[in-house]
Amino acid sequence: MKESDIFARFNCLSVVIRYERFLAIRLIDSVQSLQAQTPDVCEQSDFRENWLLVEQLPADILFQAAAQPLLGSWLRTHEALTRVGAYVRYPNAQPVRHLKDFARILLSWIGSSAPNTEGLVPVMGRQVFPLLSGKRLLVLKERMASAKLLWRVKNRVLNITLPRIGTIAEVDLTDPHRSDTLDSHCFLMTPPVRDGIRFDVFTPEFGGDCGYESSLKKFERLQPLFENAIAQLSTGQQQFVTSLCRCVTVNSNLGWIAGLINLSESGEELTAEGLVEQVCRDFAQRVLKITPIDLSAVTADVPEGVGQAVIRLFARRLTARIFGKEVSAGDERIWERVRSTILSTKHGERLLGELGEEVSGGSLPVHPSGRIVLPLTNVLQRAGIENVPPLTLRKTRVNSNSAVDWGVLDSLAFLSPLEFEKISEKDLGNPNAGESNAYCAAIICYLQGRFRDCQQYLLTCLEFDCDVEEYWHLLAFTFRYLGEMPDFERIIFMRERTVSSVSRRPKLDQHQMSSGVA
Amino acid sequence: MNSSWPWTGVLRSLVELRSSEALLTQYVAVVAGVRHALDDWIPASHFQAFCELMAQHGLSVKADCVFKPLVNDSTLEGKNLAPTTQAAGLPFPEGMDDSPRTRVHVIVSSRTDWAEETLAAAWYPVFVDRRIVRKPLVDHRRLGIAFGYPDCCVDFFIKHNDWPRFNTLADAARASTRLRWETNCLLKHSPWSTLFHMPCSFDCQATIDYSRKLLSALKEWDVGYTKHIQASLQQSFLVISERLAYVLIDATVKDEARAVYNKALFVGAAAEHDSYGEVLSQGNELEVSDGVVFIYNNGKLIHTVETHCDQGIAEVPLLLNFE
Repeated sequence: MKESDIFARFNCLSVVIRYERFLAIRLIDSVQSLQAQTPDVCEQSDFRENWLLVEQLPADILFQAAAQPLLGSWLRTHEALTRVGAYVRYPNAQPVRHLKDFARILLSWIGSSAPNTEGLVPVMGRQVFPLLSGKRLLVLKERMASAKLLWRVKNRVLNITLPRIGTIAEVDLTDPHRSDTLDSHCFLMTPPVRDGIRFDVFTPEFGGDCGYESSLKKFERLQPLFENAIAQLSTGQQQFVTSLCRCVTVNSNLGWIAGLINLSESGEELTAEGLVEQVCRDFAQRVLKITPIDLSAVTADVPEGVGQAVIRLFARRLTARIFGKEVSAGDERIWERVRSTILSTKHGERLLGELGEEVSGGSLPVHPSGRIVLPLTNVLQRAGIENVPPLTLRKTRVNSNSAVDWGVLDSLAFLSPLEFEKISEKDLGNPNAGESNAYCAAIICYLQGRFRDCQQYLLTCLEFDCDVEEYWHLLAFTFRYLGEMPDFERIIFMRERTVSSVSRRPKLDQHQMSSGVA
Repeated sequence: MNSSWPWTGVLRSLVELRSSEALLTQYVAVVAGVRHALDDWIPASHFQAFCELMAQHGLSVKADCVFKPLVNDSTLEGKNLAPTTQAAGLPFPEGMDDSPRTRVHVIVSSRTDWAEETLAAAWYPVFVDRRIVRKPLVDHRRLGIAFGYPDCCVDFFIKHNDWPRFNTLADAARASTRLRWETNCLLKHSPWSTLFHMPCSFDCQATIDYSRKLLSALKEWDVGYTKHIQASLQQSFLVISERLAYVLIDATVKDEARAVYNKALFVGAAAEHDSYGEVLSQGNELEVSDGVVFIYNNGKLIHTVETHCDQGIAEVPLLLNFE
């Protein structure tokens, strides 16, 4: 197949534009939410003031910024901190630093269209400060802990000063190569660009803050490989790569950031093929981000999670086709499993279509529902336990290697023994009326230490669907508490999954509370 | 192995059989009734001798399962769910062999019923075939109670033992009005600890009592060891997370954010997590601010350590000076 035909199967430009627009929306949404929930740390870090500056900048500056990995990097960290509740619990650790770091991002946006304005950037031990969207880097010769850079734009000239020293750098924003620096304190460097792709191991957000000298050594070692890899790309490959990739870096501790290709420290991937494969991964990641599909809800018999498998296999298969190589039989087998799983998921067809896959559907097997809603919320509310989010079980299939979903059980583990006492499976109506009812009853019994009763309900669950690891594992743990270790071992180590082999035992008295042993 | 202390008697036997000096004080705690039970990992090759030693001292041993090192683990899903130990689990005794890295997970107690109760709740996350097998969170509470840890500390641990979201040590420090050395859990992977549980605060009275009772019992075994433990616990520590902490030798803490020190020694469980020992060794003063540890040498800033809450473990750098 011709290269042009391969690339024609998916709309790269559309994915890039949609991703960048989505990123800008994510940023604005998350900032509004942050300022509402944690105004103190926004104030303390000067983030509030910096965001006011953002709101004064021309709108196209934000959209241009969304195309650059630097903003993506900041947003990625911000969303991660928000997800784990760090802004609320530990505001004075990384959260306040991260909000202060927004000042670095803002400084990097200042270009020829910026109005007369000024700002402050806390140094916090860093030496490298990106300017002009990373086209130039300001490098401080000395590390400083508590200093602040004051920057000021006047008549399209960016002036940077350090208190007690004065002006250390001046950049003409209409002609960035016209600049001046106080050589005793800093210098400006230009990361090399080849065919529109920048090679940058210095910016701390990309290369990690290992100090300028260490970054320089890495740069000198890897830059020739980078140049060579770019030179080997065909015209079509180059167009594909440059449509997605803005910058290449090397940092084994860095997760994915759109537009930033991260290669290994050894330089093994700094080949044309390695570069293309990484860009393919970037494309797949973007598609996953902009497609409203929840791959965490599905499992498949693959070595890693379904989402990771999609990205890895898409990249390998596409790269193999681009370079005219065979895809391994193993990869194809795993891809078919992943593909089938995705097709059985809401929006799965759309995802595969964006990835350039043929989606003729029809005869593909339909997997049983992977997620069930558990009717526990009402039961808990009747027991006076409020503010419980909807509880669902994501079924883990026997043939997958995923960890079982203890989400519901674990979310209730914080209840006090007194609260446990108030819950009863009788509040479910008929606990054996359906699979979800029976599992809820099993959960209640497990929490209350009524392990024999728990077993009865789990056996009912297994009659509805015996291909659920959550039922089997919970059953196994009940055997531990009942002093029946051989049965625990049969399920866990020997993977016994035949319902008839697990004999029914007579019920013990209800509400037998103990510390956990029958 | 190199010994940190001239062990004698049963302590020496425990060190030799287990190839480890950690956890010794907890064995004393079990014998003295300060705690109900403990769990440990015994080299399979010494398992029989270990059981005989325990029997000589009236202790009951229950075997849970066999631990072996993971092989081909780069694509295993769920490794992040077992951050402290990553091993493959096999049934006991079928999984035993003489490999030095094969261990038996055991429960030790002075009473059979306590041993059984602890065994029920003591499953540790391991990979079986290619799946990580974990127990529900409620069983962590049951295990803490079965061990005989203070209820308040068990409840605190259950609420806070979620490494991506919580930093238990920072939360315990926040709940404290004083930092009592009897509550210092940071040396638990060394011989110099009275604790193996995480205290709910660093002035938790139940934990203070636990430590004092343990040391009182330990004095009957080895007075010098007792004194060394106390001296070790009464030091200053740079703490970043449960698995990343350093004791600052000959330190002077200027305030809650600055300390001058002579040496910094890693006190985590696994040497592979010692990320900053080398850079700390190049400095003699540190300052904590905005989640950054600034390291100085004679007043000059030489390194910065940026801690993270977004990479799977909530890192919150603190200086803790135990009085």
